[in-house]
This record gives sequence, C-alpha cells and structure tokens, in this order.
Amino acid sequence: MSRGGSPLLVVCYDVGSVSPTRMSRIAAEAGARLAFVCPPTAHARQMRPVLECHGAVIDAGAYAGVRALGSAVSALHPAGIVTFSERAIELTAELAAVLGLPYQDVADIPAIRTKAAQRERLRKAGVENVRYARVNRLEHSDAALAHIGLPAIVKPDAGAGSRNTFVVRTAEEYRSGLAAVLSGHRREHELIVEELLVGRAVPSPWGDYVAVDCMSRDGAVEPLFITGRFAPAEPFRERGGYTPPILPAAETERAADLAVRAVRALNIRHGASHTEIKLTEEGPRVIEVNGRVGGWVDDLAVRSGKPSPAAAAIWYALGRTPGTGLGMPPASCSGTVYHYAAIAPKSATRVRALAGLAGLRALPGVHQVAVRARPGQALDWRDGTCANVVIAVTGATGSHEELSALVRRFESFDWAVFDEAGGA
Amino acid sequence: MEPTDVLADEPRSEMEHTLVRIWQEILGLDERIGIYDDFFDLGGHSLLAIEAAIRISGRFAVRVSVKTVFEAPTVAAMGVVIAHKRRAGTAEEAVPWLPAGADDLMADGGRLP
Repeated sequence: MSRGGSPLLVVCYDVGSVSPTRMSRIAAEAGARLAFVCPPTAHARQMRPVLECHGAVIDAGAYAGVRALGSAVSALHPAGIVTFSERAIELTAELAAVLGLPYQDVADIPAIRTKAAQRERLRKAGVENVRYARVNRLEHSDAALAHIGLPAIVKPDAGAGSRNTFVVRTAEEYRSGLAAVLSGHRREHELIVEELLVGRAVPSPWGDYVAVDCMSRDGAVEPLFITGRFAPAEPFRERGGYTPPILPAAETERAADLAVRAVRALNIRHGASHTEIKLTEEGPRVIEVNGRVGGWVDDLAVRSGKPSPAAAAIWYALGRTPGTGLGMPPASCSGTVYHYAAIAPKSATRVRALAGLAGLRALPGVHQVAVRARPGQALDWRDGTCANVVIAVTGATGSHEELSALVRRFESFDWAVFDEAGGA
Repeated sequence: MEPTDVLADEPRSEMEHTLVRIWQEILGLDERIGIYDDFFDLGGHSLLAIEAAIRISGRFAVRVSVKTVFEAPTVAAMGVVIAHKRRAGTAEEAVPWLPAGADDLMADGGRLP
C-alpha cells in the first residue's frame, strides 16, 4: 500500500476509458493520486500528453512481460487498480495478480471478455440460455445458421462499440454480412452468431433493451444505475441512452436482479460491470455483460444527480466507500437526461458537409452538440458506433415525449450531407 | 446611448480572429464562436485539445501544451497566454506530440476522452 502521503491508484488506460480529467477529479476528491499504465496502442500513445497532466504514465510496452511491468509498478506502492477500458481488462487482471491487488481473477477473463465463453458460463449457471455458434470462415457458416435459426445477430467474439455487429433476418443477409466482415482491412477473425432475442414492440425512438450498471466489492454485487437505450441504427449500431428508462418499477427490479445474477455467474468480484438486458414478452433476458462502466453511463448518472459509477469504481478500487450513497435511483421521475449519438446512415461513406448545427443547439432541451465526424471524414458501418457518430447531443427534457420529439429532429439529418456508397 | 450590433464576445484582435477560426475548424462548427465560449462546452475533448495545442503552437510560433488548453479553454484566455509567451519569449512548455494517423484513432471505438 502507499507509503505515507496520498494513496496511489493504478489505472490501466486504453480506448473507451472515462476521460482522464474526470478520473483525476474523482481521485482528487478521494485524496488519491493516479498512475496510468498504458499498453502500446495508438490511442494510449496519442493520449499521453493528456495523461501526463493527471499523473505518472507507465509504458507497458517498455517491459518484457507483465511480471516485469508489475515489478516496476510495485515500486510505486499502489493502493488499488482499476480500468475503464474493455481492451485493458485482461492487462488489469494480470497486473493485479502480480501486484496482489483486488480485481477479477485472470481465469475469469475469457468469460468476461469473450461472448462465446460468456454465453457458456451463463448457461451453466442457469442464468441465461441462448443458442450460439462461433464462426471464423465463410464456408463453415451455413452449419452455424442451421443450428441457430433466424432471426440471428452476428458480433465479434471479443469486441465493443457495435463493431461489425449486425442483425440478420434472412440467409442472404447472413451470408452477405459475413462476407463483408470476414474480409477487407477491417476483417474479424472470430465471430459469434447468436439467436436474436426478440424484444417486445416499443415505439420509436426507444429501444427494446436497457443497461444495468452494477458495482462489486469482494464478491458482493449491487445494482447502481439503469439506463434506457435508444433503438439502434441499422444494422445494429447503438445510439446512446437516457434516464430514467420507461419501465415499471417491478420490471426495473427484475432487470436489476437478472443483471446481478449474471455478474455473479461471471465472477466479477471487484469494480464495475455493465449488463445489457433485452425486454421480451417473456421477461428480461441477458444480451451481454461487460466488465467495466458502460459508455455514456457515468455522464448520465452525474447529470441526473445520481451516484457516479466511475466514482464508485475508483473509491472501491482504493478500498474505500464513496461519500455519496450508492443504490439504484427511483424507477421514474419527471424529466429525462440523455446522450444521443446521431449515427450516419449505413450507406454513408463520407461526411460531405455539416450545416445548421446552430439550429440544433438552439433547441430547448439541447445542452451540447459535439461534432464527432468532421466534413471529409470517411465512414464505414462495419466500424460500429463510435466511428460513425456524426454528432453527439447531450441535454435534458421535461418529459420522454419531449425527448422523442428532439430525437426525430436529430434524425431528420437535414443538418448533414453524406457521400453514399455507389453515389456521387 | 446609440444602439450597437457589435456583440460583446466578438474577437477583438487578429489573434483572436485566428483562434476562433482554429476553434471552428477543430470543433467542426459552422457557426459563430464567442471569445468567452469554452472549448470543452462546445464539444472539445482531450484528443481535440491535443490538436488545438499543436495548431496554436504552429500558427503563433509559441509553445503551447495540451495542459494550457485545459487551463485556458476560451479564445480570450488563450489569447492572453499567447501574448504573454510572445512577450516573455519563453519555451518552458514542451510541444505536444501528435503521431501520424491520429484521425484513425477517432474510429477506434469507445468513449471519447
């Protein structure tokens, strides 16, 4: 543990993390310092100047293996370890094991990180049972579909952000979709084909699923925050979330209970997890579990005045309890807080122009319109959500009806011009 | 008093006009930016702050770090920093580093910092 002074928290940093500035503020509130361990990835290298503003930066690639890295990090006498990046979960587990700090067991990482192993673990625990098959070659794919049936969903076995993810309703969609993602420079090496969990009918723009963020401490799992999700863009790219979800209290409890059981089944004993739950006519079903705080979730929690999952993860990793209480927010309240990602159409290949964003900014209920894809940026639906977000809009409305009207305005896309596949 | 249509947060110097243009290009904005508008409130994030530091350093021939962008996130505040650095002729801050292919990072999934 830390020798005198303030405790030091090791953050394994990579793409998808909560912002370093946000981490730094939380750590300061906890009276802690940060040290960032960065894998040798383009994103981590790019972010180094920012990370150095907030703590020590340790280049994991400079060491011959995790044991050598651990020896170097142990000299800093860290009090805890955490990650907010899907890609850094494995490194975090390995480093935690070397350092003797609480985190997930290395043996559990395949079930936490890869979808097929996760499906198997959930099935064996009696939490969820979905037909699935792994596919890595087009010529073997028909047998997988025969086992799964239609409709189905295809995803990378290990992935995040809806990359190369698509729903198929016909055999032709299945084959053409697989051909697209098993080839080219963005090709996937291992896919999973799953039976599509069919959600109950909900009106646009609402999605038929929610996400439950939980916090674990020494194996005790507690639901912390529930997020309503917008209907994904074709073929399956997430559009963000809102709170509170449109969900009766009893169903919220059932979704939270299912998430807790799924997290326990995966043995996520420490820190944050994010479980997506499909709302079907038969009840809630597990879509997938991620061993980290969900995207957009911390921002939604903070702006809606609820306990921050990122703060909880940092305080827990330090072996402490946040000053603000935890626990699920009420199932319903007046007004909404949202984060909407306007996703380029599937056929779009490039942003040609953006115009009229000032009009969007002036709308009641819009607090910020952030451009994520500037004119000239290439687009490809296979790259998933983040690479195809044209603008990210955050704000708050007085009701779900007002939010629905705002989303219709965003989705009119009268503020953007795209180059399209096969077009000019 | 004579009515006026000069807005109080319009750029007051060539330097501020240039900074506004840099802000607009980086943030992808097609609209007016006031000199007191916050870079991060307008949609800026860490990667864009790095880009801003590089462009400002190059355009004004001073060394501006990403930390400076966090500390002086408005055109007005950055203008003061640049003017001070020019007068002092100091180079106490390192030029931020942006590797080739930085734009590809935006397509790497996950949240933007």
